[in-house]
Amino acid sequence: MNNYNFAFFDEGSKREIRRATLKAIALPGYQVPFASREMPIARGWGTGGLQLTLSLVGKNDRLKVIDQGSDESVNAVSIKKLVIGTTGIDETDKTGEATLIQSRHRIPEAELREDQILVLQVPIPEPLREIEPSEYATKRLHADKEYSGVWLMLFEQIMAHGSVATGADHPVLVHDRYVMAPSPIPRFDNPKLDHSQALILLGAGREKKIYAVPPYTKVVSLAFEDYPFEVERMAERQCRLCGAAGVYFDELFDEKTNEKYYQCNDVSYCLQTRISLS
Amino acid sequence: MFDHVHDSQKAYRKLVDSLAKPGTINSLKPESEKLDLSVNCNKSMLLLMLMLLDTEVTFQILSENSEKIAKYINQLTYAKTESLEKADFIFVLQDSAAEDFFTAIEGCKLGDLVNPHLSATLIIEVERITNEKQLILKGPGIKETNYAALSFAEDWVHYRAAKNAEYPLGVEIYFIDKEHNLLAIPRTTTISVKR
Repeated sequence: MNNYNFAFFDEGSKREIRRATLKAIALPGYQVPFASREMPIARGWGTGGLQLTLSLVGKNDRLKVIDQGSDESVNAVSIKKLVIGTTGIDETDKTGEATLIQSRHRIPEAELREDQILVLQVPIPEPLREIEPSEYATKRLHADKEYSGVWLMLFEQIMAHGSVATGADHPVLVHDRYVMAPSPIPRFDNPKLDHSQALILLGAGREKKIYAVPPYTKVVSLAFEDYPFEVERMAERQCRLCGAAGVYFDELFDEKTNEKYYQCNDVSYCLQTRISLS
Repeated sequence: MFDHVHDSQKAYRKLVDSLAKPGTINSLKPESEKLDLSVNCNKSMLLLMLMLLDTEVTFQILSENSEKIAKYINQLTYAKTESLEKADFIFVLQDSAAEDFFTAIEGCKLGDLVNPHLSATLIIEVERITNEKQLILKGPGIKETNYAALSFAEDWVHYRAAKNAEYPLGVEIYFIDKEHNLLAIPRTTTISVKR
């Protein structure tokens, strides 16, 4: 692959993404537009996250890519192959060993550190999109801090279902200013955004937006006083492989025995727990 | 020899680190000392120019030699100079007049509430940056409190506070000292002067 530039991109593309990233870090939760290059994977498959990763990566980095908690799913493997193939850096499955972590739909269970950067892939960066289809209008709603639409959306869910029904991507308020889509992470992961030790960068390739949550930044999941924010209930469940509790689980079903059982969604966390037990 | 790919990348990650954790001082010395350019200017300032500038953005340099340096940087990066009111990046070198910074921060562009990212970034060369307890920093990126000290007219804090009064509007300021230390202050940081 040495016919490619280091980290695939030309330096001009990196520079443009870097400038957008710097403004994003200075404006927590605000979506900075960027040019979003054509990538060798399709838009909607993590090109935003990939572009951030490529603009950040250096020779001394160690990369981890996860998709829905797994290091070995197709999306994660393809992205890893592209980055490793054009940089020659090391990859790792262990969260603690990675300097750069690109993820889709999860924040790892192991607590991240100040020297790590988490890159999240975002399909729809605009938390107000469901309420307002026009980008011209949503930009102005953010400018005015006019968020009644998103509150109404949550209120309507409570009226219809008796509780907030956001499966993932539950909107958050960042630094008391911008309502932000945290990417489709489960509500379970929302509290990890608040005062995270690691810098979190979010990239939406198709929608051409970059935004950020710096370390130690206040991130509050939107909720009402009488309907407080709740994460998915994981209590009284245990991983059938490593015995972990209080983490995010996949529910599996055995059709022969009609048995329901649970397994850590974060595969790396599960493996590490099993290694430390044995 | 300076490597435009890898040394720029290393310096960029240091800038990201300093900006995401205001008060964190990173040294750009290992990268910038490799720069061999025939222009009389702090090499870390030049490094940031090479990292940030190209045809898509504009800049301004405040210095006794601003014309000479600007021409040189234009030839290297193809970025064009623009008036203080319109420039995306404003580099204030140490040999500029003391009041130049104040003119720059008062006059530079601020973006608007719809596009607050369209504000200027100021890059200031100072004599010395340390973590002594002169300035108390609070805000995103800071666990409790961080400290920084600059050998720079203390008034800058007030000028900055006036410019950044209406968050999310505001400007970012990066400081570089003679020893190539980097300190970056995003608009979200609140600064108070320790008495």
